[in-house]
Amino acid sequence: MKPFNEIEIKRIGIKIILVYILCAIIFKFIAGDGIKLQRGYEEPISGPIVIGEITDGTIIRQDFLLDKDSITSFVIYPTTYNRSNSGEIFIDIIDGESKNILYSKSYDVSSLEDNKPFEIISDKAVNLTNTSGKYSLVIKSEGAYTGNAISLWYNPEFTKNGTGLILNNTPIDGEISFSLGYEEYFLFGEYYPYFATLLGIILVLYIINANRKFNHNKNSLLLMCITVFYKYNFLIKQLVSRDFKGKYKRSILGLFWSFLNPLLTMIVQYVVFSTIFKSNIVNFPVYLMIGIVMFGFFTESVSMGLTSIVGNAGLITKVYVPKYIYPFTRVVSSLINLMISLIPLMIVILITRLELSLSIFLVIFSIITLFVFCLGMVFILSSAMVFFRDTQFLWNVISLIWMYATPLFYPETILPEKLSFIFKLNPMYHFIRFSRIAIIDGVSPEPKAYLYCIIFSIVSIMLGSFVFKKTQDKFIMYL
Amino acid sequence: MIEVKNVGMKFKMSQNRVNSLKETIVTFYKRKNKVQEFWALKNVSFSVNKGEVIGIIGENGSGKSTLLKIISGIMKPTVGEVKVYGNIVPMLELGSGFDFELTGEENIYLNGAILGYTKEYVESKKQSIIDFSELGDFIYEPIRNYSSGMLMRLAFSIATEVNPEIMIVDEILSVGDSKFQNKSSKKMLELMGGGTTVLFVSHSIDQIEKMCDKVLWLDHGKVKMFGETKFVCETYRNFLF
Repeated sequence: MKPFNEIEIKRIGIKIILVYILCAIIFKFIAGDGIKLQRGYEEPISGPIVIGEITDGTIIRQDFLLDKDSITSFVIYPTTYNRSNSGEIFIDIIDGESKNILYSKSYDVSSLEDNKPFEIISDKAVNLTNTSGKYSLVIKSEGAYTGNAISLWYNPEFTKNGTGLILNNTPIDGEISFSLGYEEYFLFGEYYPYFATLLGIILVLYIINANRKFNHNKNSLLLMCITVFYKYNFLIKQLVSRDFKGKYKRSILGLFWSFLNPLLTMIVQYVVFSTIFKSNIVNFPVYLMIGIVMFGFFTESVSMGLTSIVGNAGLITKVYVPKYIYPFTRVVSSLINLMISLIPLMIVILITRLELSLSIFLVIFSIITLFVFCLGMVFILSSAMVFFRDTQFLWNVISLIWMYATPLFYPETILPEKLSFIFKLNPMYHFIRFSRIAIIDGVSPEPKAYLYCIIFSIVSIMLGSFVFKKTQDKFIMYL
Repeated sequence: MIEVKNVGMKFKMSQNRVNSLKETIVTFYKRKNKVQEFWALKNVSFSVNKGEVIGIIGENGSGKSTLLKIISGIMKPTVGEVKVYGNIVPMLELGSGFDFELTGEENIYLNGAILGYTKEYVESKKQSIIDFSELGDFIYEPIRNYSSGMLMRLAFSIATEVNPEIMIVDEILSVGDSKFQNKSSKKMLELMGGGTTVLFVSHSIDQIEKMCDKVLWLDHGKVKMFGETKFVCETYRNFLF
């Protein structure tokens, strides 16, 4: 018995393709330049002392590491000793490997103001070409003598890996104060139309294949999804509404709690952590809120989905319904909860007067991938739960550790660079980071961020469906 | 309508059912997790035509309920296959899909959905379900406030008012007070006479004799006899007494 016929499946196939084309075009507009290039800025190091007058014959070489594609701005912090000086300074940016001069310009020092940041590159971007990312800034001067030469602020305590300061051919500790803006280009963004078309062609071929399989009465993943959607649509809706009605029945505020909960959590965390972390984080309330809402969805869906098989034992042993419906509906219920908690998030965004850009719609992407990720987790854990009831207690501990391991209320920079792989391995970090960039920074995250989200969600759902499929026939013996 | 081919069902009986991680590790370590196999059904084959009423008899533990569960798709047989054409309403336990926080009306939708009906269909049947159950305005009350009789009436009405193609009944023929009992057994007879395929387990041989076209006799998981009601029932009686 099939719930739909040949013509309908063709229509569905065409619909999917049209939706894909629409999404691909809309995405191009929303993501904008974000997938083509990323602009960044390296914070200046504040220098407590000056390096000494730059007179004729003084050569300052500051080596730095920058693994990007171009430098768009370079700022140094000179001091004139509060007097008028004469002469010229020459500034070169040199490729650390080939020793080629990438940029060269001279400035009249009399135009410099005391303690004002001075932009040495402003006219054009400097393209960076080498693979090691090693570059040097070389500063010389001409016509400057002791008494009328400028100097630069400098921090003798600060040394980053791979950088070094060389004064008159002798290496010294520390680094001069500078900051730079850079751009990084992504191949993906440049060739986006081609990628999108390629993916579209694959999609079309897949649908044609699924259609062919349908005509030969063979099963395919697509067909299964459509069946679930059509045949069990009503059941899923009923089970979701049961979840909701059951959850808020006999509570006075009811559904309003879904709305209030994240807001209250945010306020508590804001009060507790604002003095510690606020200064390092742009728009701390929104930063917190995004973490709370997304991580809240994760823990809620997994802890509710965990018991979906065991909790519905009464139904599973009495009526036949595909068993994956139960974990699926629990995650859908949590998803609706997440949608509701987006309202308080919007309120916080409006209150903090965050400037919004179109990129906020990219959050849809991170929510979908997060949903798929959670679904996979729920499949694994709900089947584990049938065989080992300890799973739920273990999960309580794990989710607590997981929460502290994810930068929800502390900044990402809390871990030294060496340990940052801990974040990279944490799927939740990627989903949350993605949303934060899209909302707070107002730009599309780099293509790699999309890739991380997709990979984690696909691995999770594949593993989850595999485990669930393998074990589902045995459930009934253990319920 | 229903084809059962060489179905066998194997259960594992471990001395103690291991249900936690600690126990698994301990038993694995001690190597005492002896598993005993037990075939609840072995080599069961038969087929049922549309509209037939099949009675299933046998002593306790002969595999009747397991067979019903396999046919309803709740369990997957270890070997063999079951083909079912048409939608099944299992009445293994009335009201198993009820949610006690919801009202009777909401439970009609929920139960209808669980039984695999569309929204439109449930909506069209809603009134006749309410009428048959005689619950009146109580249908808008949460069912946690219902008496057990009211619950059974509602559950029975949902299961029978939707005109199932195949019905699987485990020892439930009449529920509620004597008035509703009459009504419900009449309804069952009506369904059985009206083209619904019924598989029906009972310990009352009189009932089986009265209602069924054919009888399947299970004995320790094997088909002892399958055929004409009169003949099978008589042999079964002689076997018992």
